Amino acid sequence: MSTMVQEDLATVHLFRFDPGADLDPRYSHFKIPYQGLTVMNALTYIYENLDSSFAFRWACGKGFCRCCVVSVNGKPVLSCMEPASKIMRIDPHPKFKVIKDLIVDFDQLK
Amino acid sequence: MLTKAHETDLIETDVLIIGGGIAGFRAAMEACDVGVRVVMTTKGLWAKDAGATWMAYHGYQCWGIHPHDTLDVAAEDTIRCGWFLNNQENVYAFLAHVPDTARELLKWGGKFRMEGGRFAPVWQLGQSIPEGRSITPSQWPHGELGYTYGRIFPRALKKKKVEVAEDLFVVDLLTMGDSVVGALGIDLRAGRFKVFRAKSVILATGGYQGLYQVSTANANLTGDGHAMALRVGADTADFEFNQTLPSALWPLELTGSLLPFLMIMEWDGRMVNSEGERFMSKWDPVKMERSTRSLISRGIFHEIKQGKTSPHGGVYVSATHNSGSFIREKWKEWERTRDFTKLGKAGIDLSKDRIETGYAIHYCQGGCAVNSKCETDIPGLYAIGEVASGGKDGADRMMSNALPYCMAMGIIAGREASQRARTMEMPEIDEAQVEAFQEGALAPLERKGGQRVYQVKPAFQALMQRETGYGRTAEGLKMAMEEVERYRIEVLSDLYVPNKGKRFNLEWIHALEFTNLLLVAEGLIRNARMRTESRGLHDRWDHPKPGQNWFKNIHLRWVKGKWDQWTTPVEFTYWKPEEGSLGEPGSRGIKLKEYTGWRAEPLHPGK
Repeated sequence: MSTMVQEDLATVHLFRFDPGADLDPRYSHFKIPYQGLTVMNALTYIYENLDSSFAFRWACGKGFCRCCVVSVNGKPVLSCMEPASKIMRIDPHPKFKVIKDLIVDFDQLK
Repeated sequence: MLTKAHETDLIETDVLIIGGGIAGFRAAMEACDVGVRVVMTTKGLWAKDAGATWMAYHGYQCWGIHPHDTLDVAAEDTIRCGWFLNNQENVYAFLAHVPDTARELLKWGGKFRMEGGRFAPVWQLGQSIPEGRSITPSQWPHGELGYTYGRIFPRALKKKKVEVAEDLFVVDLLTMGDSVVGALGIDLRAGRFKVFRAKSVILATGGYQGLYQVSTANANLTGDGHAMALRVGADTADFEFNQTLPSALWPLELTGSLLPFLMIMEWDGRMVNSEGERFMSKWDPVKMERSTRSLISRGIFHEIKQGKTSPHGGVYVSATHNSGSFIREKWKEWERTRDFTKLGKAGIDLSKDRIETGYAIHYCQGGCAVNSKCETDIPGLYAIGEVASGGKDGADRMMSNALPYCMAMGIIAGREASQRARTMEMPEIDEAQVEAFQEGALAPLERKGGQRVYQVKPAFQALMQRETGYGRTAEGLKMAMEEVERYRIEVLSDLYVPNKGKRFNLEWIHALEFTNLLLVAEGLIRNARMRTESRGLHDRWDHPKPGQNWFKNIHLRWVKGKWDQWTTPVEFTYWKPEEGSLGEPGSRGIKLKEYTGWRAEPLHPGK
């Protein structure tokens, strides 16, 4: 990521919701370098550098384990396999109940 | 009571299994069949992450498919691959179960390559029978074994009364007197501590791949079980042996992929350095690239160390010498696989392009030195799978042995731990100890400032990759040890997590994992310094040959913050190396004794 010194930044709108504490979902907004990154890299970049208060899943990073599924601009994707794009609205997978932010309960449909 | 200081839940169970990969799963099934209460914890989601099992490629080694392929042949192959450093009693006791475990995989609905109602195995490295011994999923290369496991295991476990605690990070084992009596965990979903009170505890936490920069498995394998076992003073061994595999460096889309290794195995792939030299001729002139995995990785490392590298710092793997029709046919067969989809996206054409290749950590061979009942030397504590590697793999694990070992050890430990639980009362736990562990775990959250784990971990991983991979030297290891000690003294006491929430606080867990990694790193470096020879996966630049006096395992115990290190000579119970051999590849074994223990019926002979 250190090689990613870029002028070209992506705009990220990140879904935030803690059902136990918040009345309504909201979005956090970030501008980050994105070229050559996956959506997972982008989330990690935000988490490590800008805001570590949101919850998301990552594990294998190679498209095997399937835990990192999120919705990008309305389309469900494995975040570790999906290239980041210029404007991203990142939501939890729409089918499942939200536990916190991007983390859903795969055992409970909405 | 426990809830005084911090919000804490208490769970009582007969058997607690820490880790939900294939080994933990199989132990849970077994304990359930014995009829005791079982709780299995996993750090992430059961069958979705938090484990290497779901990333397995395509080989499950199983003797007894061909009439002449007996337990003895499989054990000899395993011991030869391990440079004769294996605990032979364990090799036999574990491999003895393997045909039964293959039957189970079928029974649970696994689909494998079959011919006429029989397994049609493939040949993999180190197998002395040309027909091969590794059963392989029927969808391969489009579906890996990991995918099969992820599909069939949850279905099998659903039928049993096993409580699975997901998103549960175990901090430490609880002890009373000499015995392990439970564990303290953090329930990430609830953001609360959970105390497990248990009669028997089985560690099944996998490896410590997170020590290094690139892993073929999950970077969230961080030696948690290893560190917990060390902290209760368990006997561990073999930390100096880490298995690596050739894995892609470039194109970017493929980083960490095993494609180069698959190209070697299935496309007759060849490796050259930046000068176009097929460098494997220096290491294994007969088998060249199809040598053992340790020799291939060592070969790559040495080219990198000498600077004969590709633009992204690796060597090249190519299949360009094959005919156009071979490449077209293979491409057709493979094009819908994960790796080839990525190749397509990157615009790579294997008839003219090469893959830049380095090596990635694949399997960790240090761990609890268990006996053939999977008992550690701490009463109440069992260990299975990768965290129990001390001994079973010797100096190099044989390809496609890992998961059969996990299944077999799961059966054994599940049974042993349950039987122990049946003979005893629920043990008391020490509440002062629980509170002390809670204080320790909360420390990074409570600090107002300091260093974040993300600021320190990359440099630590780079250090480990550089100095404790291959080509180890006395100076490099000494320097690495000083650095790791500095991390332990200066960084650990200063680790801080800015976000103070406890629910799904990933950075908090990463900080606690880093503590575990540092302890394992110290053990690894200690052993690597002591072993002044090169053997299997342990490669010393300053001691390039195997040593005359090194048919020994190096053991480590961590007692009250101090290391106790000693060696034990290998017992050649069943096989010894032929005269004049130091265990190097190609050495034959000489049979000393028959194994008379129980063994599963072979799969097909006599059918």
